[in-house]
Amino acid sequence: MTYEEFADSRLAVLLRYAVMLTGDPHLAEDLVQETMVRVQLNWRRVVRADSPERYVRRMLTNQFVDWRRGSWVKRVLLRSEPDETLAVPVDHAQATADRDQIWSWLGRLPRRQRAALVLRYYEDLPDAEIAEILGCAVGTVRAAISRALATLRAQLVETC
Amino acid sequence: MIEDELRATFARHETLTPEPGPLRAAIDRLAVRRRRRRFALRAAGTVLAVLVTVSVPVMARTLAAAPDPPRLGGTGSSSTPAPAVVEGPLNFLVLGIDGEAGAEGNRADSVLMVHVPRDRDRIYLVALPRDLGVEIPGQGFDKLNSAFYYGSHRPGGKPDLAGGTELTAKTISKLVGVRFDGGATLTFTGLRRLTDAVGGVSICLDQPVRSVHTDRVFPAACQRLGGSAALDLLRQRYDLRAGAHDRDRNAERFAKALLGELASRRTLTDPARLSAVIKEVGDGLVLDTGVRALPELLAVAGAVDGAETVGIGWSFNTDRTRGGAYERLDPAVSRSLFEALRNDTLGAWVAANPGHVTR
Repeated sequence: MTYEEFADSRLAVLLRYAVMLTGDPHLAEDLVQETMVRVQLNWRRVVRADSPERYVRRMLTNQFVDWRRGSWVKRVLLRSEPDETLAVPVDHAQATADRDQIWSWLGRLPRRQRAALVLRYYEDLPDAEIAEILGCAVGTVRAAISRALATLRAQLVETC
Repeated sequence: MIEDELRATFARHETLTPEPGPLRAAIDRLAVRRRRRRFALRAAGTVLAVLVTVSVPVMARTLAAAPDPPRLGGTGSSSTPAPAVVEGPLNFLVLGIDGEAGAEGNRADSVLMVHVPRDRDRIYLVALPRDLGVEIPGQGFDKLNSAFYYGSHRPGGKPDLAGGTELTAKTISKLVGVRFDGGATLTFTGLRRLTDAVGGVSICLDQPVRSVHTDRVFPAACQRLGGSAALDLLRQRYDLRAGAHDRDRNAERFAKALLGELASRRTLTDPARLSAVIKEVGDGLVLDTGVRALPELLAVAGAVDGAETVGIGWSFNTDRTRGGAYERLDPAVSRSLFEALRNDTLGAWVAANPGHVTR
């Protein structure tokens, strides 16, 4: 597989994943760009992985979680809070408003917790694989998810 | 229940996903720019390698010249026998790695074989491109600079620079058919510290140089530079009239200035000062004397004093058939060159191939 083939087939998927992680299309582009530049420059190493796709997803997730190391974070800090109203199709039903509220709460979770939620509830990955991507134990993943869910639940109760 | 809400929230926001097309182009542009930057780093690595080649023998020669009573006594009663005289040709490997010894792994971006012939009248430098596609023992086909990575990378720990040097040496030995008698590996910091350790250097430039990295302008005049500034200058190539050739001349000026500085401070004639400087450079420089004992090599360093340095270069072809861009040896040149290296007939080879002498 060449880098070009990989980008052809996976770029859109990675972008979608990055949108879920960051909650913002511009940040998602920055994150994917930074990751894919590194993928391209180190393609030989990437393609040698058992699954290049998983390897890249792991790179991208780490880039997102490990904010201290990424040059990417400079741009993140310069931007204000993710624009919650941006480009979300407007639907006036109350249920939708609640869900959009969840979306904005997600943005306030610690990054690792948010990544764990995305991997389980958007990517539908088993906990073992989530642990591998985040580079921690399965128990840590479960603890992070339950903490994140508890936070979200508490906020949901508060606003009711 | 909250779980279902989450799933619905994620699914609903998929529409936020931007078009991948423009991003794809931006990624390619940025990758090109970074590759260029890497190239500039690699160029600096070459400078470092040449510098070490020039300076280490001089330092070593000075050490060898230091008073050594048992040898000067010259009687058979001495408990330390005089070092055996090394007769045959010698090969050294000098590596400049890409920046610092970091946890993310290092590659050897500058790979220089140093050949000292049996008659010691010259020092030959043969550079190999870091992107050369080679068989790395135990790792398969990859770029030459990766051999250092495989040999030195210790996941989660400090890289083992000596291990990287060793695997790179093995890789080249397999390719060329010569065994290395020793080697030196220098990090970026190595050069900077070395310059600072001697209190900076004075360099006279014949054309102004603007740094594409720091925007600093080095005027066409004599100036005194500290370690960081010297490193910055030696990384510049794009803005120079003759590009890489002018940069090499700056490197020569720098090496000369550095040696002058060492000499004027009597560092070279004072083993205590010299070892202080080497200590200051610290882990930025890794010396490997290989299978030979250090005194033997010091004796050789004394013998090559004043020898002419001959650089050998040749063009490479880029091979894109194996994924990624590999440099490929031109067999018409490499076969006879490697044979000359093995047989210690480089003098004749250079005479027959004057076009491949770089200066």
